[in-house]
Amino acid sequence: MTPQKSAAAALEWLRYKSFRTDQQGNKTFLGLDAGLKRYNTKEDLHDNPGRMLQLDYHPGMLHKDWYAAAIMLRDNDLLKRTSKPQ
Amino acid sequence: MKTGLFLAASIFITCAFNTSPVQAITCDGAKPALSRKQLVATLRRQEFPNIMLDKVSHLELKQLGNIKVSDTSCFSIIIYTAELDRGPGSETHRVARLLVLKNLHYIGMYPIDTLPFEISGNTVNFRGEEKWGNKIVFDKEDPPQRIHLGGEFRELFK
Repeated sequence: MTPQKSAAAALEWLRYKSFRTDQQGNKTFLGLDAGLKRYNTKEDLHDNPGRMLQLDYHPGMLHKDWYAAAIMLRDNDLLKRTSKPQ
Repeated sequence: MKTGLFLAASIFITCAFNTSPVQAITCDGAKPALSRKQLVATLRRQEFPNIMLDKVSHLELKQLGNIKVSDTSCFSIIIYTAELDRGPGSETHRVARLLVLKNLHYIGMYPIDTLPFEISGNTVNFRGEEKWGNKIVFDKEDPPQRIHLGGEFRELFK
């Protein structure tokens, strides 16, 4: 697995998880936020302080909600970094 | 010599005329009940990927219950959850699967995003709207090969 392949696979997975299919096979686009929530979902709360080392400590918040917010914040940070005047 | 012949004849008669039906297995909400140790041992002996037992953290195995579809078929439904960590710089991935054992033999798993909350009759129920798929029905001798769950079609695989 290379970073390029990993990034492509991640985007494809995000695209896949951003859609929902009904029993007839009709697809509905849920949006990016819902896609991120479904991207890496597990409904635990991660309120163990031992996880602080992994930046994965979010007491009272479902993991899927935390994960989506964390990705969006990282995205935001990246955008800010790239938009700084040189 | 005479004893040997007598034993052989007894075995032959027992086998030839034993017409009693196959003993029905006990299968209800509580039995068969497998401990975590028994589950891990069962999965290791069969075709369950060892990597999913050895190369993960926060491994949890919970028996949701059993579903009896006939006198000779009993499905045990197991919730598997774990975390895969591929080292520094990579995001920890959560893995959840619904494992299916038939008469205590591992036969496959479904990928799941959310965990089921109950077994009702022969149905494993999940939260969510019915139109996106919120249940798995076990009504045949084999589990369904394809299910509709959480807005996705998912296959049973090993």
